[in-house]
Amino acid sequence: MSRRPFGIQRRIFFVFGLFFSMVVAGGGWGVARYFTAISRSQIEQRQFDEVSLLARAMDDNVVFYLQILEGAAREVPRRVLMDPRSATIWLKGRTGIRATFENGVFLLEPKGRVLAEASSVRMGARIPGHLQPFFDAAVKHRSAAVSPPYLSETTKGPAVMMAAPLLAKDGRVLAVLAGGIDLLHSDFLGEMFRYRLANIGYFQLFDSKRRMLIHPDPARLMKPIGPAESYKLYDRAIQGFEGTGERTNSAGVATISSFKRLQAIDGILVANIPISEALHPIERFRPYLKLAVASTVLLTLCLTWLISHQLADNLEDVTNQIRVLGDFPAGERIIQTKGHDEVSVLAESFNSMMQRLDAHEQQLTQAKAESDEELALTKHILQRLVEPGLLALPPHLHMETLQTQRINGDACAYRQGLPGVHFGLICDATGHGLTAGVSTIPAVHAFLSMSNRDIPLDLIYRNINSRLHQMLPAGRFVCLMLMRLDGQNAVISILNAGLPDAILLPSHGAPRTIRSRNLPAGIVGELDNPEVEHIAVSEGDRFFAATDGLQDILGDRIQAILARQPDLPFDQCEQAIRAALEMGGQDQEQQDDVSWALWEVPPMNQP
Amino acid sequence: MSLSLHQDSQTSSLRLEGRFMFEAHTHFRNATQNLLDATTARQITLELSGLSYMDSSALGMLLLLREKAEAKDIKVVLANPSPAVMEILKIVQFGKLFDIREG
Repeated sequence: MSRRPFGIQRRIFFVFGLFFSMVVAGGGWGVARYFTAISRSQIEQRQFDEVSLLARAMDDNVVFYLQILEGAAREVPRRVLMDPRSATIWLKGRTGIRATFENGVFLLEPKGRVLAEASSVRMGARIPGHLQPFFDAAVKHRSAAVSPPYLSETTKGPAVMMAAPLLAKDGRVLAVLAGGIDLLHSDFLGEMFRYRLANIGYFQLFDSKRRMLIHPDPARLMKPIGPAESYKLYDRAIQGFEGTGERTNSAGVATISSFKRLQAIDGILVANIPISEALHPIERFRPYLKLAVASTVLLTLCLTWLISHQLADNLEDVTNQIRVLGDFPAGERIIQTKGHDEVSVLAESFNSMMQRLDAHEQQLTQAKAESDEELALTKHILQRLVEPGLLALPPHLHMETLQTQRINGDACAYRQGLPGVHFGLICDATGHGLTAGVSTIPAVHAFLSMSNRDIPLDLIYRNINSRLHQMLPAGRFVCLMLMRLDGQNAVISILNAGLPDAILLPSHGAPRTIRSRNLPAGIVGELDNPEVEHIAVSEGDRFFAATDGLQDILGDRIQAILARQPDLPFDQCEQAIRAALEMGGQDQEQQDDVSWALWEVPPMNQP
Repeated sequence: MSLSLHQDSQTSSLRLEGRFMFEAHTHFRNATQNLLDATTARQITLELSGLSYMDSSALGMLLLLREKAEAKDIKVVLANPSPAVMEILKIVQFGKLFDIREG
């Protein structure tokens, strides 16, 4: 049993398989997106928390160093301020703060001139110009201060200067104790910047002048941070932004960057971690997720296939059986079903319907056989009625009925009356089949019995009409034509009741038509005055009449056929008409019987 | 053959189109029976201008309708027969049985 290319089973599989596959794939994609977003959000928050914590630690460190310097300032003996040598000796004896402020410790006058130092700075030199504002501010406010970051001439690296004023009892600034700190010193901030975020994440520190103070790459120390278009977040941070964003660094790597401003010095701390590394767990998870989605899709397709097969199997089976059902004879057209599902119920109903149809077909076949038998019987009766008369037709008269396969209610009959007098009847009953055939029998019977006694045509017509009216149901009637040729008196009489025009073809002169002037027989009980046409004829005149079946086959061609044969002998004319009818009947399937008559007026006094 | 009904309080009209033959007898019988059952008009008009042919069975159906209508005192009028149908009606002399109104 072959499956249909787009049968219901395949359609279920394709539609539901596609739907569920899309749901699974979409779900996998959604899960990946969701976890990526969640992870990223958590990473951003955690990174900002870390950078904030580190910034606070740095601020605390600066404050701690400042407090150390302030403590040392309070211990400076006031007497050494008058003697630079004593001050220098005192400073060099302070090994603790010298180790802390490794870029040098200085004792300066309030104006900024070096009073004593514990480094290589010469005595009497002044504080560098770029530090003067910071120094002046410390003196003015009489409080400790931290300078902006600057490039140390000693370490060639980023440094800050801290200053702690020495105050007199009246509050005057007597001197200032200052110490320089290398920002990269491992005890201060340097260690923090060697610390790595994950594997390749790193910290940076830049100031509001867009200078990179601390960076893992020593070549970038104290250099501008880079073009504004690549460092938009940095410029936003200078303007006050604190938080996390995404940027692409100078190496072209997309990073997650968190910014936090320091409070103790002019600096903004940055933590950078490449996105690929930040989302590494998700990226590691992604192939497994893809594998899981692919496996689920495959499993879904298999399940859909199995379910669709399960659902449609019985239907496919029934469909295949129905497809070849016509090859089986009646009574064997049964569909075998499996299970008890709806398809089986349908198949059982179908079987039941087929059984009824088969029974009906059997009944119809039987009824048709009976009908054919009855028709044959009717045909036989009709033939037995009309045959003796037709066999006795003289040579100048011809009458016949060309029947279709079934009887359609046509008949013709002939009877010899008195010597030289000939009676003819052609009739056509309403409808087709047995009732039409039966309807003609009383008409033929009445005609044969009455013409024998030379009863006038109108009386024969009345008698036939009366019989049929009594016998036939409403709506049934018989169209007929009664003909009487009186050879002795050279008169032909015609009574046309519902048949097409008859034609009289004189041997000399124009043809004449005889129209129907009477109702078909059997319609009304009482006839008014039947009209009979009596026409004088002469030897060789021919008369032609037919039922309407001829009109169906030949149309108006019969007049042309008759007109072409005026000089033909009678038998050849008759053969020409029959040949035309037979040829016309071959061109189109003959629907109706045709009864026709061709009479020729014989020589006078010929019986 | 197709049938279409037009009905008002004064008259009921049934328009016949196509070829009126034996095959239409159930359709015609049901339509005319429904019409006879439902109508209050005293006349039924069969509009025949759309008919191209009638066979003897169709003529019989007209006779049946006439008989049923007369039983209800309703007149049947055959209106505007086409030339081909008029020729058939003339041959069977239905002018003696029906009111035939030519257009």
